[in-house]
Amino acid sequence: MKKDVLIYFDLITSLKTVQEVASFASEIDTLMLGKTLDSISSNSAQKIKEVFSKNNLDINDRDTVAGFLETLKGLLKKFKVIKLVLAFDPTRKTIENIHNFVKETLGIGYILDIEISQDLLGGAVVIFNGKYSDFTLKKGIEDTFANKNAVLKLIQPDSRR
Amino acid sequence: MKDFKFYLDSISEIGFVEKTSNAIVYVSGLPKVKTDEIVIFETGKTGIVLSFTSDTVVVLVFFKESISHGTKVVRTNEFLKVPVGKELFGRTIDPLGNSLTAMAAYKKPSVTRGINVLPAGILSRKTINKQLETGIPVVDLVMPLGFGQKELVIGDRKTGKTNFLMQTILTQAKQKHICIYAAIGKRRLDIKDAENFLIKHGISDQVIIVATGFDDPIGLSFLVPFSAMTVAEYFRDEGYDVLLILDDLTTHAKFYREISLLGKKFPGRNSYPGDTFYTHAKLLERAGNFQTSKGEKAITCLPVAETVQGDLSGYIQTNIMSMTDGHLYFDSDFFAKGRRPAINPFLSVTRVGRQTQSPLKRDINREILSFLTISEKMQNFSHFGAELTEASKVTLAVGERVIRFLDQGPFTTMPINLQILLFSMLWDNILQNRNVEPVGTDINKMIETYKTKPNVSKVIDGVIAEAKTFNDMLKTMREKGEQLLSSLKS
Repeated sequence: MKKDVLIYFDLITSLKTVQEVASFASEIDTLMLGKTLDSISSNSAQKIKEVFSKNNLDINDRDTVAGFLETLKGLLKKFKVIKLVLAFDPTRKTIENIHNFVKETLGIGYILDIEISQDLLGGAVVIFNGKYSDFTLKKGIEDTFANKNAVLKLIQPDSRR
Repeated sequence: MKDFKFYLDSISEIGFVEKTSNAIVYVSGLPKVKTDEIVIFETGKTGIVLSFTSDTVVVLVFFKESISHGTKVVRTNEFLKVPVGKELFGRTIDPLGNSLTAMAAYKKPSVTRGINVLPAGILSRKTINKQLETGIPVVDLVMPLGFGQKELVIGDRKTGKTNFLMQTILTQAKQKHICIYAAIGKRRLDIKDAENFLIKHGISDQVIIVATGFDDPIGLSFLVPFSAMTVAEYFRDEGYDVLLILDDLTTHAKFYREISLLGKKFPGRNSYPGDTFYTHAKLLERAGNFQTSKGEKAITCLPVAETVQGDLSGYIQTNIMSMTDGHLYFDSDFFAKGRRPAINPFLSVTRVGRQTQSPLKRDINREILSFLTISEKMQNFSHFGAELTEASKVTLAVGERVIRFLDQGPFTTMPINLQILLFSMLWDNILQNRNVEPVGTDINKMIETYKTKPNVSKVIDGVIAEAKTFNDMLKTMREKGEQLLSSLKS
């Protein structure tokens, strides 16, 4: 069983974001309807062909292909989503760096759901498994000023003078 | 209650709306959520957690507006509370304490109490020992109720149940007891009629109405009886006896069925969820007679159940019958014959009411019931069309007079001592073969005299206090009956 799952390793680890997984899942659905590899994106088709050739699987055998796609679709549903709210629109390179960091820290099976909100100013909000952590610059400034009012009151000049 | 951002920052947990289905919203996330916990949506609206699985939280919402997929939700670590206090007197509120009538200067009470509490244990409960007056002879003399009793009011639509309840509220409010009327999913017009009745009789400052309309969110309608019970418990703890009316629990069960089916609970009998009995039982068990820090105080509960074509064997109806201390059955045949209230004493039960009666009242109770039973049998016998004996004819005629005595108009309430006196007079006349009606058309005048002339009421109360048995009472009627009757009629 473990050997079967390893077949999909390269495919799984190449997916980094929720949008990529959703897009790939819809391509799988297209293939499961009996369409050929020409009906999906060339990038995805190439990846699937590489997996078949690397593992000596017969791409022309309908049953083998159906079983492969079924298992792949099941694996796609098992991804755990880490939601990131950023103040900037990250480049492809940035997304890869973040994903690699996650892979090194937590392992495979995690994808990123990136949302952009410019009023955060900087930093990020991280949401995972219902837990919410705010590491934004906006929160930092708000917290500082929340305390600052108390400080300002202390150093205010005496009104009797 | 604070806002969405406060709870997001303080609790650091978030959920997202995945699916909505009328009053139910399915939310992902919120790993440490608890059942009955309040959750707040990004839009500021609230709901409570009904149940949860490892990946979904089922939330019951209290609004009708649609909510979009992906809306953020936070939990509050707080549980639903209703504002309680004397500011509620004379108000019609929804289950969350918001005023429903456009009345000036309504300040929501600052004190709140949790809606979902466990019923009190056995140690704080006391035996029911004081009679609750409804002002209606067929109940007070024949089917007595006690303070702290749970008595089901059951019958078909349009058989006079609400009129009876209003008369009971009128009597209790005039005795300065607090009354709470919970209207569950009623028509706005019916809620307005109830308000107008209370204002017209000058008792609205003793009554609180907790209501939702039929077009209100079903989540809110589900909360109505729990909210009303919580308010009742507050006033009980403040040292008042409370009358609580839940109108009606069959509608409440239907709302709960809808919520449960939407929440994908497995349907049971008649598609009701399996915990329907538990839901109503845990509510009704919060009523009773209790020992509080302010003395012995009671919450008397009159839940209402509707039947279809007189079928008492329905699921919800039998459920509530088994968790109450009796039922008053409003018979549609009696209603069609013009009997008001249309209570069928042969199909009604009061399990704990008779223990509150004095020996005199118990004698009268026995006398009326046994006579009505004989009269009813004679009625059935007379339908055969056979020639009746003189004795049978007399029995039937007397039966008619007793039934006429027990009939009462919709806005009339009779104090119990006056009921005892007038019945004793009637019975004395019957025993002496006199065809004189001591009640007749001037009953309202007699009630008014009793209520407004303390010298008359004092004498009558004294006569009744002295009589230990019904025979003593009849003896007194022979001696003083005419005099008492003329003082009432003057």
